[in-house]
Amino acid sequence: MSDYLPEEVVLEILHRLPVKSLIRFRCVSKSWNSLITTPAFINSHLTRSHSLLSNSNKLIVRHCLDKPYVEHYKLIDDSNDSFDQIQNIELPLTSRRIQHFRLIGSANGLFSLFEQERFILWNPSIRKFITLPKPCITVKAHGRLTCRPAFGFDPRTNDYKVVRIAFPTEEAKPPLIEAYSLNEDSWKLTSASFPPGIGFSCWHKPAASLGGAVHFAVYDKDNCSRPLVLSFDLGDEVFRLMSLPNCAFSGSNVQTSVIGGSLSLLFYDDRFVANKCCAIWMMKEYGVVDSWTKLLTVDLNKEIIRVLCLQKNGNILVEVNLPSDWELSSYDPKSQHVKSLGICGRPYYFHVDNYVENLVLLDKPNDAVSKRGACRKRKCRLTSDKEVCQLQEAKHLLQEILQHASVYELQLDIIHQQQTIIHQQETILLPLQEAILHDKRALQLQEALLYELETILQQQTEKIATLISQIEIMETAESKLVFLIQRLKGQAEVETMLQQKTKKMTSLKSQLEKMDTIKSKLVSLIQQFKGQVGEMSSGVGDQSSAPVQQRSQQRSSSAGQEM
Amino acid sequence: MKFCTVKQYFDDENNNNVTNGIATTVIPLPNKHLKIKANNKEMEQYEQELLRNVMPQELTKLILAANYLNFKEALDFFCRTVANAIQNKSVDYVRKFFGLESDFEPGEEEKLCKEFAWSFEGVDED
Repeated sequence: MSDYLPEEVVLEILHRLPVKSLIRFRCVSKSWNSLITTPAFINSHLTRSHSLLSNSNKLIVRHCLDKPYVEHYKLIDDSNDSFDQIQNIELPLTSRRIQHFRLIGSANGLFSLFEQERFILWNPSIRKFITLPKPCITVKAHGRLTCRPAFGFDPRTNDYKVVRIAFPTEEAKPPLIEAYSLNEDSWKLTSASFPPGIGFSCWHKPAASLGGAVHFAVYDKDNCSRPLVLSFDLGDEVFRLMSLPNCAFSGSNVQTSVIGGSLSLLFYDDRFVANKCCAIWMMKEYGVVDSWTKLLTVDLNKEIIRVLCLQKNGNILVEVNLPSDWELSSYDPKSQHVKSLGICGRPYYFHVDNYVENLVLLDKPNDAVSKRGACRKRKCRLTSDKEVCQLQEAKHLLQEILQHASVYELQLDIIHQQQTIIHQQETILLPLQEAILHDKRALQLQEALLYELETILQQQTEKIATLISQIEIMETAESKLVFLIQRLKGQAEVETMLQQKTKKMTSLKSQLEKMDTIKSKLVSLIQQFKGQVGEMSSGVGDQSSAPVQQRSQQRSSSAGQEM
Repeated sequence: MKFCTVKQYFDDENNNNVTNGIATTVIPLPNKHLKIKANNKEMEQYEQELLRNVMPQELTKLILAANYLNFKEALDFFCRTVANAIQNKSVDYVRKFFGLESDFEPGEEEKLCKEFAWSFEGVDED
């Protein structure tokens, strides 16, 4: 083949090749390598990519799995209902904070990720990422900040830009704004003035990139928190506000998006706990307030937690909370049926975008990836390549030895002898190996026996444990009985004491009774004496009365003394 | 105008770029285009028939002819065909196809290959 194709023709062919082939054909020759990596080719390939039929129905899904903290990017064919997965690409970089990166946004199949002040641009088409230089607005320089980032594509300059709107924690100060341009590879502070009295409805969801501007969902602090759309033009770096029709209710959670090429808003309404829903509005004509139309409402009361993207067949891709996991699913608004697509991941970290193959970042210098961050698969391939090279080198050495046969004959003889020895040793080894195998089997049997014994031991120890517990129970019962017996004994003693006392009491009572009878007898006697004395004194005369009275008095006093 | 170069071709007798065989394949294409117009399937069948008789290496000659004749549809068609033919092939195949040689230094090519090793997966064997 002596015909050389002119460069313009080669370019025509290259423009029609897919990204994977282009990357590989960089190795064809130096001229092809330089052709493929010029920014002009990268740009023109992207514009042609948009028009290719094979690219018009692809979606790229970002989902994050925990442990390992890896982000997956799946390419999916959206042209039919079966939702085939074409490819799965992993981000070959792990976050230093044992978490996932946060997504700033995506445009033309290029993703922008960040953690703290480390910003990354990642192109899954060519599996390449670059780390952006340090931004101008940092915590060191400006104190603590709350930052709203955004990522967008400016078709006028074919430039990708990362925007940061940083609010110092002292509220009175206006925010600082800077933008990174991929073409210039540098951050620059802008003099754009952020409109006062405006607050962001949402700080972390990606801002929609459309027509060379990034769009944020904001609210008017001074006007009953009326919702608005704030756009930042990536070309002239000017903020503009867009009103929404009055009937759009104010939700605290509003997100901008691009649906079918038009700016859209997702209103998450959770004012009523029993009736959560998400309303999708679309601005059919850019810039015309009256062209805002409500597409549909998605019911969020069951499993659906977030709306992600609209499919070609009218279904909606949603994030669904299932009992076992969070999954990407397809929701049919007509039948209200949710069909799981089997892609699981961390909730609120799903992201879906239209996908176009592109070569952006190919011409940028490679990132020095830390060993920790490098893809394990690539490492394995590199080591196996090394082994292949080593094998090839060994081959070359052997050939050299054969060429110098006369000098190395002796060595060959020695090698032969050694080989025979090795053979003999192998023959010796074989029965040993068999013996080892036998031993292994015996060991296995013994292990099985041991296992059985162990289980028996376990059962016995369990029995012992139950017996011990029974004994303990009995001991406690015994002590209780002893205690009771003692109490009873005590009670018996008390009873005997009582009996003795009652006996004493009865004896005393009997004594008292005796005394009472004696007393009564005495009293009756005294009365008799008194009667007799009276008779005697009255019948006989007074002569004997005085000594009789004296005798009766003496008798009564002696009777009294006897008592 | 599709045929200004063709007119020049016929006027200019001393012509090395386009052999007769190629000319007979390329020139009838615009007529066929007009007849079939926007019927893609029929065009595809016609194109496939054309290609069955043409070796892959011949395609580069066809492309040169179409380029020389300034014939955009044919150029687009042939480039597309070449792209489809080579897209899943190895680097060596492509070099042979275009008659190119590797002008890399020994270490450079390896570096490039290793950098994007994933792009060499699933490549057709030569």
